[in-house]
Amino acid sequence: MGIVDGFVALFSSWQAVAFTIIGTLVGLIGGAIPGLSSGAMISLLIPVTFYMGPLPALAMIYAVGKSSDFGGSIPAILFNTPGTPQASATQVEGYPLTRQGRQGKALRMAVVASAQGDFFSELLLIFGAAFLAVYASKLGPPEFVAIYCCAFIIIGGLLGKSVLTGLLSVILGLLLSLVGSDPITAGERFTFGSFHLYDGFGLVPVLLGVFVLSEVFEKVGNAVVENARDAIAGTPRCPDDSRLTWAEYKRVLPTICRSQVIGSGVGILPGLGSVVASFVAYSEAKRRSKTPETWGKGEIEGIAAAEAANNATSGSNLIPLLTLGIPGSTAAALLSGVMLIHGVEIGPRVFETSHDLIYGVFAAGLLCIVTYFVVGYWGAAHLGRLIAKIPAQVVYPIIFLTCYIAVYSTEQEIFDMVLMTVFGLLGFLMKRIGMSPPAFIIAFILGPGLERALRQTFLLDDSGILYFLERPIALFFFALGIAALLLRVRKERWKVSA
Amino acid sequence: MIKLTRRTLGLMLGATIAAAGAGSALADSCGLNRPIKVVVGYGAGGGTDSYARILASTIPEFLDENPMVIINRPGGAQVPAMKFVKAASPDGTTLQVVAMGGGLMATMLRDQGISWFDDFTPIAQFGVTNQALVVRADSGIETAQDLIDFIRSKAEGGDKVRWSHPGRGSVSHVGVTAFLEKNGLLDMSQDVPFDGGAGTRNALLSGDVDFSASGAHTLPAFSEELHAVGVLSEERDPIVDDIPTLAEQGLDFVPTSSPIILAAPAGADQAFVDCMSAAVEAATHHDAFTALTKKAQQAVVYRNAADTKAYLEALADAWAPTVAEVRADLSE
Repeated sequence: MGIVDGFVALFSSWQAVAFTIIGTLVGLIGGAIPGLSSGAMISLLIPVTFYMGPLPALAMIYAVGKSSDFGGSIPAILFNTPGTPQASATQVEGYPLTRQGRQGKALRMAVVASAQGDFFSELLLIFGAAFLAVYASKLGPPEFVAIYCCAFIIIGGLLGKSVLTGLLSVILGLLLSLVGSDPITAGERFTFGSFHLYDGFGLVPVLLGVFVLSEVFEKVGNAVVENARDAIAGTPRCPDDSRLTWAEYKRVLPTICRSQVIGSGVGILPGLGSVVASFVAYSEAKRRSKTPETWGKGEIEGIAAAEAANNATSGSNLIPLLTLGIPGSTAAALLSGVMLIHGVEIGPRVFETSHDLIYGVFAAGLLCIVTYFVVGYWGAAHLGRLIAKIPAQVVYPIIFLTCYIAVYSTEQEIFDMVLMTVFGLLGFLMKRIGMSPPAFIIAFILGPGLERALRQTFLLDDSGILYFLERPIALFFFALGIAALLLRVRKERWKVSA
Repeated sequence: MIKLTRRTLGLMLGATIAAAGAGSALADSCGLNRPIKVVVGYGAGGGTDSYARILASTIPEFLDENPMVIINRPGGAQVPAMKFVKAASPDGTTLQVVAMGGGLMATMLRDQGISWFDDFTPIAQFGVTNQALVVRADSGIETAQDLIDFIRSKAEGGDKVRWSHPGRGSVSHVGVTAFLEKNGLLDMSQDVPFDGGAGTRNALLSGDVDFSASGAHTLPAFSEELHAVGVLSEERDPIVDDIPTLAEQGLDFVPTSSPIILAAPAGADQAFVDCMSAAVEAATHHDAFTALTKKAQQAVVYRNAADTKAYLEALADAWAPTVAEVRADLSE
């Protein structure tokens, strides 16, 4: 049994155990700080790994990526500020709960769903990696076009106030993602000769602007001054507000199970990433819900769906990396760099050539899940109570300043601070007219991938759009997207006529 | 008469402190008393970044423990990183590790406001990556000549072969384009650009394309799935020395190795350049450097400042005709 060997390898090295726990804590804290991505943290840690054995090095880096996926949900729930892009879906339901004084419950729901999704994905990685990699390698550019389109339709259709505003948000995101260098010819587009726009609008300024600054602007716009002495979080009214009851867990369990399957599935597909996973799972759970009217107002089922899916990508992400050398996320790409330095030959035979090491890393993944679950579950309630005591007039200026510090520290560019301000205003306006900032962000992040895949498809074959007819998997995803759109439009019509 | 500005005052102050400090120690650190920032035009974890980080972790011993800090400014084919370094003061505290294949190519393909040999001073070469032509192992294609025959036979059937590479203007794109052009095969093929090596390779593994351009050092892990028909270089790659070069196979091609070099902005003091070059050479002999590059399967090739410059100029001359053609295509 590979995993038994892995645990033996892990626990026979105290450094490996210690660095797994250190990595978990670093990831939790880093994930919780907006603007400090797990990518940045891992980059800082890479030189340290030179002087470590391969197992402690890889275990630490793997743990940072894993626990930061959960860490990102902490500020999303408490401050409506996603610590990582993938926590954006969590904030939709998490922040309203904070306003109601139920932040402790929201955080515990997040950590339970994260750990469970993560655990499922890790098992899939341990027992199914070699088998599943075969399928991942069959997907080429035409399939990716279909998967991206399907994801955009589902996300745009479900996240906006209406199908129209949702899809408009997606289109705006796609248009703005065109700025920067052309993914095929590498020529400059819409950069107006500016060196700052060579790689397009930076993700950190756009993300912080649209989600966070816009929130601050909105508070100013709503003249929050009169109740500025109140905390942004409500005060827990009863003990149940700070904990997750067994009945609640039982209610959301089917959603967690479905979402972890969605998350793991998305994680295997390189390049889609946990943002798509969390939003698709969230949308799917909302669609299935018998009480959709409670969504957007603090539904713990939404947090469960988003977090289970988002963490379920972290294990399955390694499947294409280990077997095909294709990193499915930034964290996976950096992990591959550390493997490179430690002489691990990433490829189809990695399970034979580096057997104990790879299974040792998987065992470290399981240890990491247990660690962040323990810290998150018992720390969450304390953190929630603490936050409830801080008044809005203190929190918002801190958030405002943190945004500017975070964005400047990423690239040391004043330009990014200006950019973030502009996108803050854009996010503010979008919310005013009922457009969906999360749908906009997803389209903005994934737009270049869609464009690249579409243009590669046309280069792969001379028959143009007809080439999709030769690719059954692509056709399946197109049909799925169109079906989802029609269902949503019908529902909307029905609502209007009722 | 020296104009007294804050900058000159600072310099004078610095010089005074430097002179007052331990003279011998400063000579060891190549005249630097501040950490060296080394800019890398790729993200952390990539091949070039690993070279840079391995250098940074071993060179301080030869610079009187003066640290070297890696700054990643990824994207734009290393051009934003080059612009950043070009604009920096040539005082030796801002340097760059460049994968010169892509770096030089990027400045030759477009007007980026960079004329590499005017804007930079090479310090030393300390690594190299070579490009290989790769097919699927089950394709039945054994040699580069087989590949040429395959492309011709497909063209006779009215079909174009497809090949993948890590991006237009990348060193593999230009190298393979030159090879196809010199053998009269360019019109019989269509390139499909991907974003980096992994996607390029997967397109070949999944059967979407017929052949690929790939970094030779990435091939050993895929030895059962993929087969390299030739390296685009005059000499065999030190890491995968079982792949014959195209030169050995008697084919017409343009060598497209990518030297990994350390460079300073133009105007760097010659004594500093020579001192750093010697420190790089010493670092390449360091046990940790040897062990780390060996584990990472990265080839180590050292050239001093003058030799690096001459070698780069020869590469640029060899690439010029193909680059001119690709350049015309890109501007279409």
